Amino acid sequence: MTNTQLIMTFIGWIVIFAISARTLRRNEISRVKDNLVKKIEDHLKIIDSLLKSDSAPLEIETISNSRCAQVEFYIEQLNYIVRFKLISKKNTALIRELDFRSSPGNDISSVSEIFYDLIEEIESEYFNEYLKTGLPRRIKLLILDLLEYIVITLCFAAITGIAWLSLKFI
Amino acid sequence: MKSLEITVVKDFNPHPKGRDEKDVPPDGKGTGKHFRESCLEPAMKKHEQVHVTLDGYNRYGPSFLDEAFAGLIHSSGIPPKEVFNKLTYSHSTLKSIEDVIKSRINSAATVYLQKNIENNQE
Repeated sequence: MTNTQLIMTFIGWIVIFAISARTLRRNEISRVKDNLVKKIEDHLKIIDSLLKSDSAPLEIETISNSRCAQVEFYIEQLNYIVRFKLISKKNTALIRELDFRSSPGNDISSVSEIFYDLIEEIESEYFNEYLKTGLPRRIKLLILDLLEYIVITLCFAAITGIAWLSLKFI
Repeated sequence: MKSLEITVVKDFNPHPKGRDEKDVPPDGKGTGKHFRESCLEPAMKKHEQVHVTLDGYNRYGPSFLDEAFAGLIHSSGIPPKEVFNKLTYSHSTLKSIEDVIKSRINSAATVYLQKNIENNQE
């Protein structure tokens, strides 16, 4: 194989790897986002059923806070995967602050508003970041991803080369 | 003594919840009021700086946080300025807990200042 063919193969491999890794990452982001929204909706349903069953405020608070922590960890995961702060935790603080002894905590319509504010923030930030972007930004993100994958590939090639050289001289 | 660090789960209770003895009868063990009276108030009196570490537990309720921290102002009568100057708190993974504490302390401070203004006007 000539040098030109080798270089073309290398470049082709990087492009295929980049497209594949990018697609996988986007799918993962979408999956985590959907799980997060589902968790928040389930949280609201549980609070609704507890309020209707006249459960003690402390019981509702305990259950709500357990789920709040899970939601916050999911938001952390999502922010980690997208590599920046896509979702702020301002709205989760509002959920955590709900006092089920008095308004708005003991009124399901007020509680629903807080929850749906958070869901709307998640959906709109995801849409703005990944679906609504114009061509210049898409190209910029693609270039950044390609640079990242080139660096990864070069590191891998360097490690492979070092390993091959070590074996050759042993 | 200058400063003290209190770790809630180690120095107080591994599962703190509730506001007072009404939430956790008969003695309110593990509640916000119990934490404030047994740990926080004595520490605020003896030390110049008190730091409360909330790590190790993620399910603090607003009633616990309100009674424990904002209660320094609305129940124990400690002036807000002293609370803001002396007290710090942290949770390394869930910043919303810090936000709730801050919000509750600020609300208690606002009520305290309004009452002072009304008392001065009388």
